[in-house]
Amino acid sequence: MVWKRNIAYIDLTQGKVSKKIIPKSLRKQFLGGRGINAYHLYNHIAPGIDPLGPENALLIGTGLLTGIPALGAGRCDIAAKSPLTGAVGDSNIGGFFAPELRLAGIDHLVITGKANKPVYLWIRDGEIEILDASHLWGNDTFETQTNIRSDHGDEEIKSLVIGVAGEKLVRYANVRTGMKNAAGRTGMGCVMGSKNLKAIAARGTMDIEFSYPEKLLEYCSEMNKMITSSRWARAQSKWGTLIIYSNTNTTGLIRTRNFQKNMLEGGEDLEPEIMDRYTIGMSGCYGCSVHCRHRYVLEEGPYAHFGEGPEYTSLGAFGTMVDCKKMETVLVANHLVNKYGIDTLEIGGIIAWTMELWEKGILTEDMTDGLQLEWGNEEVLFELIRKISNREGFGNILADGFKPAIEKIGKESEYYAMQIKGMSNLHSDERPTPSLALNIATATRGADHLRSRPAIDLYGLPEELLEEIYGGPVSSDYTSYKGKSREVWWQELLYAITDSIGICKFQTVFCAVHAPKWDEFSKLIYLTSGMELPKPQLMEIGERITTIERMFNIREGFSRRDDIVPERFFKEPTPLGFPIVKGKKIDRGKFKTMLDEYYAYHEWDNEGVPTTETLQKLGLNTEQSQTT
Amino acid sequence: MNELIKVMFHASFREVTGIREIEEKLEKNCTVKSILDKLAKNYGKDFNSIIDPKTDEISIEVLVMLNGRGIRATDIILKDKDVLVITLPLGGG
Repeated sequence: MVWKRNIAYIDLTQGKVSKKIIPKSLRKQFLGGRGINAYHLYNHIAPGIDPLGPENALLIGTGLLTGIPALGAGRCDIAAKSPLTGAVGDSNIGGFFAPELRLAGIDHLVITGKANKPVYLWIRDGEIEILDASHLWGNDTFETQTNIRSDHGDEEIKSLVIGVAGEKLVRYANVRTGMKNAAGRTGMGCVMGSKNLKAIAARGTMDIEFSYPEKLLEYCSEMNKMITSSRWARAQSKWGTLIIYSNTNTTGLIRTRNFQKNMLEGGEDLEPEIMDRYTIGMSGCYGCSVHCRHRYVLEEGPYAHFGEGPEYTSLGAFGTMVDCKKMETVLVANHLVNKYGIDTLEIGGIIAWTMELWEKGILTEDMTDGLQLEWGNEEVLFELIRKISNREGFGNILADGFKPAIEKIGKESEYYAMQIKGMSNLHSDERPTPSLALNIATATRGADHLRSRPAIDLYGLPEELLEEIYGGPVSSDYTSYKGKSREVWWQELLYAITDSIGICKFQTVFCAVHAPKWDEFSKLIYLTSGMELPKPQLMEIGERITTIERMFNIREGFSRRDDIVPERFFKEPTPLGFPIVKGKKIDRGKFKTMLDEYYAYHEWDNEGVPTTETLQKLGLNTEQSQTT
Repeated sequence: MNELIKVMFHASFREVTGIREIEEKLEKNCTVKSILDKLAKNYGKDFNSIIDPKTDEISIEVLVMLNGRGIRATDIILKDKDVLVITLPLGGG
């Protein structure tokens, strides 16, 4: 039944499993996925606990729409208190795990405690067992998935797994599934490792019930036709997200040499068509009609391998930020992080930082195990990825993230660390784009583009269209500050819903103006569950999810002072690019005004604290309650 | 003295042309529209639908950037050393 889906509670210390039906009230308030996870984050995790301790809860959630054949509706949300930042830990993973979990009769998992030896969860048609994973410990992320399938004699098993980085408690270890899908950010793989939880494996043959299946299938078909007939989807199905590089590098919107330049000069070999040398096809996630993932072979050399990817963000992490200009370097580094199970953005950001510290003489050979951290040195890049993932030598200093590394290396290193709330920014340079600067400064999980990025701000859209989308005036000039707080607020609510219904952001207004948004979400929610949630109510749910995450962070000691871009954004003007982007810094006074406006849109006070009236309006009780 | 503009092709437009960029000699009072019309004549395919016939402006499904700024109007007069990028509106991270 639509309303009889299960949430399971697993105590790994006691070895106990229990299930209950997800209350309808929770669905109406938080939908599923990230939303219901956020509810549990606030209500199931006591303030001040050690993220690596047994009291931290690992929360796994399928989206409300998981299983529909459209919009990449196979995404899974994973949350916990982040061991990297101490703030909201939350990450989203594509692939095929979430539908399998739902087919296996479970929608959400709340995992607490710590097993006394390596284990994995085996979820099969409503039953959950805790099985020995000693033989899997030490396996990389590919081997783990293969071996679980082999153990059970079933090639259809889908698993969330950790690699060696998660086992070694690298604080930005990720959770992986498939060849390259990852819940990358905030160290959710580290939380799994801290619980001795190597994997969560699912196999399901149960039914997934929807309220109006025939009309739903018809509407999904309509959605898919709309997506596949669009130029942007056709382009992505050929070149994936690599296609973004041409625009951003030409304009001057990319970090290079950590943050010293905003364009990669001589970066022609990272252009998307270079992948044609290696690509053997394109692949996609569950329910996706775009298929934006390269499947490729690197045939020759010591790093020959078969892999999937890379994404534009990995191109930045292992290309532009570290001044490596060959696509093969990106492929190898991307494959290594997939194998070890470590966040591509975090490790790329940290390595770029160390290279700038080396250049500035802050890091010396005696500190780096003799490694010469020169820009563009791919062997050093690969070796650092290996050392960090295995916590070896200098890698161990970097494995806990920016803040602990700054303490060990020295205060003079702090200025060069491109992090917000302890998490690395991706490779975009937001100095010319105030809207994107506000996005990364305020994101609840740290420097992050996926919480609220108004990417369409870069398109120079007519202001009448922007006003229609955002419900108020927004300048069409991406270097302007006017109306940008409204954009960021609106997108933040939209992505909270996107992550809670479990669809792919690339099939929303994340990248295309006429892509699905509120009205389409409302209709899909109605056809799947019967819930009538028009746009205003969906926006309210988005507000509720964002606000409860904000409350979590405030409770952990975060405040307005943490909603800020790194100091270099204010001090160093962009040296390159078109005249529109060259010489740009973020204006401190205008940033402050944008932040004030953003808080006001959320109906939070001037310090970014949700007011009592706002909490009451959203039905949020700030007294912590347990759900079991 | 010859005045030139650069036209850069990204995404599907690069696929059609097979090259990344060209230089075009700038005629007097050359507008964005005249360049786009010439590209449509030379290359066809995706270049035929850059301008929305209903509005005579750049289609919402295409992104044309002039010196890094997205434009919609096609009657803009181009100057020496201007750079036009013909691409798709593809955002992301």
